Amino acid sequence: MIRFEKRGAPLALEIAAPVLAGLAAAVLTPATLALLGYPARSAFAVMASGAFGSGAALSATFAMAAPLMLTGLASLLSFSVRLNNLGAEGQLLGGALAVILLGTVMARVPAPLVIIIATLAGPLVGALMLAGPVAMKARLGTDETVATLLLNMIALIGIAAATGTALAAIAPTGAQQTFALPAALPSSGLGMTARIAIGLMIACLVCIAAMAVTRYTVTGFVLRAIGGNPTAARFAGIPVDRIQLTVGAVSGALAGFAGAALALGFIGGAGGITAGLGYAGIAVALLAGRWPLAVIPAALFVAALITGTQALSRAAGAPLALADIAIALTLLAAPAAAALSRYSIRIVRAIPPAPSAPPAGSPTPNAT
Amino acid sequence: MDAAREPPSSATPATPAVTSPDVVLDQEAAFWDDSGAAWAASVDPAAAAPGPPVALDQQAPLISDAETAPAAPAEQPAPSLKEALGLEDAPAILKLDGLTRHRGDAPAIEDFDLDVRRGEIVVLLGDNGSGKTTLVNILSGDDAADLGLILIGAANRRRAPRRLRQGSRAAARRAGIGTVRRQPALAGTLTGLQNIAIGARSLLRPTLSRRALRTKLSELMRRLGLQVELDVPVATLSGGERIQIELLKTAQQNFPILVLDEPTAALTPQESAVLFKALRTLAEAGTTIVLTSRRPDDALAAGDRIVVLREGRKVADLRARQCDQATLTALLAGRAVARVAPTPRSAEHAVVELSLVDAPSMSEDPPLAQLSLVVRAGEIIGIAGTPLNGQSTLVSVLTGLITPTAGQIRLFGRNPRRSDPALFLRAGIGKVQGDCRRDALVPGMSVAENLVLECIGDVRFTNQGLLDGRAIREHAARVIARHGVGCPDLDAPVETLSPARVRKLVLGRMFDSKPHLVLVHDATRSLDLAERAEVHRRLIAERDDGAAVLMISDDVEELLTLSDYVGVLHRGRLSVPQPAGAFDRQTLGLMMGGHGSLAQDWSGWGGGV
Repeated sequence: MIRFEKRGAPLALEIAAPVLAGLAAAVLTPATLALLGYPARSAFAVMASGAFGSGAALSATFAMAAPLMLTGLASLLSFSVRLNNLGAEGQLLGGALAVILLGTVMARVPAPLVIIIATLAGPLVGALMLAGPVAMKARLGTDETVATLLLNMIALIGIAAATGTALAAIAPTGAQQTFALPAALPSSGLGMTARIAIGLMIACLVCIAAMAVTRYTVTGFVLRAIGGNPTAARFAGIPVDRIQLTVGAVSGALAGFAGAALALGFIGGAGGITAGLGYAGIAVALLAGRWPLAVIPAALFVAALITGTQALSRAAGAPLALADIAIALTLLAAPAAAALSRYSIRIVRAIPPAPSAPPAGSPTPNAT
Repeated sequence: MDAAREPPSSATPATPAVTSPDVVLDQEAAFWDDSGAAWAASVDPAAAAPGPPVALDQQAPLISDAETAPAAPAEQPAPSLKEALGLEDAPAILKLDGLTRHRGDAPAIEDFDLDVRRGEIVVLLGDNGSGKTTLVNILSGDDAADLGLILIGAANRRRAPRRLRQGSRAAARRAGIGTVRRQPALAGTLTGLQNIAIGARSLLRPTLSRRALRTKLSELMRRLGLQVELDVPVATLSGGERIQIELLKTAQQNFPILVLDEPTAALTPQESAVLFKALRTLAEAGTTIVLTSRRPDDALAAGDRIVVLREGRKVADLRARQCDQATLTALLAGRAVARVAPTPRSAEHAVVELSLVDAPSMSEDPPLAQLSLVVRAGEIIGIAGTPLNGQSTLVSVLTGLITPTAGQIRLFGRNPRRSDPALFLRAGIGKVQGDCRRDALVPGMSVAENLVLECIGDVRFTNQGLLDGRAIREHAARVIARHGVGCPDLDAPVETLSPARVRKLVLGRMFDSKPHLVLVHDATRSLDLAERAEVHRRLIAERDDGAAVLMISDDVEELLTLSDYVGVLHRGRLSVPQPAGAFDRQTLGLMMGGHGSLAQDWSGWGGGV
């Protein structure tokens, strides 16, 4: 018989599990394409060249990785204190919306001032969008999962209204639509490559800082305690609700900052919002597991998966929704791999004990 | 027909074959070393002769119907030569052959053999960690042995016994093994009848009417002498009543073999007696029963045969009528355990006072109603009660986790600003929760980190907001050494520890914080006898050092030995604590079952306020 035995996952396996999960998603995505009847020959080559093959491809991948790191870290932080926050998408859009509105309103204010105010306003909006549901969870016992998920829709409608774009154009159907920022916003004078590099640098620094905090500080200890067992943390005198609120605000602020920075164009290169970055951030967080530092490779991988899949669907003439399929597969594979890594699978054969001359008349093992 | 031909199996000698000739079961012989534990001590009835069994007399009042002792001992046939050699044809209905199951490195059971005859009640008696539950899990199909066989004898003795396919619940049920697990598998919101019907309804015969089931059950209840309300939600029933429902659920399916895992763990002595009587009736009708227990008195009251387990091995296989409590206790522990006998001490100022406190329920525990309690420095207050009568809620109130909805809580005579665990911890309230894994420890964090969980803000462990890893580890090593946690690896994730070690870890953490109130809920759960005695000594030492001790427990023995005062918690209401001398096992058991006069007095008093 096959026996599943629970155990603590060894470190090597804990690292291997998300890697394998990511590979599984990368393999299964073209397989879906083939199942749907599209030509999927040399799919990997197309995906690889779409993600890394050219300077343009590389910069697209890196440009997407920076906001993914921020939304991924945002999701990871909320998950780490047992907040089921699915609202990174909405917080990102909310942050962007704040920038767009401020940019429109403050058309006559000097550009640097607008940039500073907008950069602060984005995180603030994001923080409020998560702090609200978390406070409601603590006070009223409402479910933060539903609240954050529904706020995504509200933010999306807000963006659609503010930009005058048809709702469908930026709906998260996988169509990674961009829209132009209002003319009032100053575009940064930097080149595309520089903006991508700055974006990556900021995102990486934030991840490293988060890693240092969780690993080496008392705050990190408290967060791990809440994540491991909120009841025991409460009994031990840790103010769980207050810390969840704080972490929720920080998490929302990160996503909101990603939105604001995208809208302002100082991360992500192209200077526009693409829908789906928040949802993909959840996949990043699930791949990264419990380490903020692992968000960096996870985000790079997911970004490559998205740009590669986009290239593939262009090459095969398939819908752009293929990128969403890739994300969905990652979302399924990552927790499955993590769960499996906590079990050891043994194949056991029950060996009958050596027959030690059983007395006649007593039951014998091979009796049927 | 078979039953008629066979002599009452309870009257046949259990294992007459003498595998080890020179075992004389008296006090000295109980000091077996580990190597000696490998064999099964099969005791010749004659060898146990010195000293008549005495403990049965003590237990007699427990069994409400003393006549239920094994019937017709006079007809006991002398073991024939054939039987003595183990060659008799009457085969065992259940035979375990060399069962071995390893868990991690340590064997949970090692080379375990057992023959059980039809209509016999066999008690597997063992301390915590002795492998009882592993055996039950293998019998019930929840688990499979690494080595060894289970053979099920056919009712028709001409047919050869069948080998049980292990690791399959369905196979175990088909083979005729019905199991009552330790955690009753009942849906709390459904009534008893509905719970039983879940198991009884066949998908092939959905027409089996509820009325027929009810008739069948009331007949069964009458026969077994059970009295339990079938039409109220199971959540409102006591532990004893739940076990009755569980027993009915299994018994009405007419399994020839019944396996019960520690059915009396959460019962009062009276509830246990009712259960044993029902089991006896079933056995007399031909059902074979295997149950586990860690209480010698239960084993003596229930069993025809008592098989003592220690560290996964069978150390003795005795007939119940030929042994006494002292023998069993010595066998159980494998060494002498000094009993703790505290001397009373005069109490001082009140550390904690609760007056007329109402509190909302904590998980499945009932809410507290009108609860008043004073715990003074230098005294041990015992709170008796079967599980889920408000104990966890009481712990939550006393540690500041939940705020009373009415009434007052005072620490050192002052009202705390608010109910807040951090505040209560700083005031010196140390606790050991009933379910340590659920409430006291953080999985994923190491042993060392868990030991500083309650004092991580302390300057000893931090350096400008940064964790001082070395200080944390040194502190952990000190706590582990000083409080006998016996945990070699400071960095091991806490979820890898055994239940006993988890309990000792939390006890050590609590004792090390030098609390003014020592609040322990089932302090000795999962511990073996020696460890239990050590904890008892420690609690008394804390009291003598001037700490107030509140000991919540369902162990009558422990409560009556250690406590200065004992109160009974029943359905969220607490009786007025009385000096422990005012109780004996019987009265305390009755009150824990909600029948006692004191409990009624109190509820009347509480309702009037």
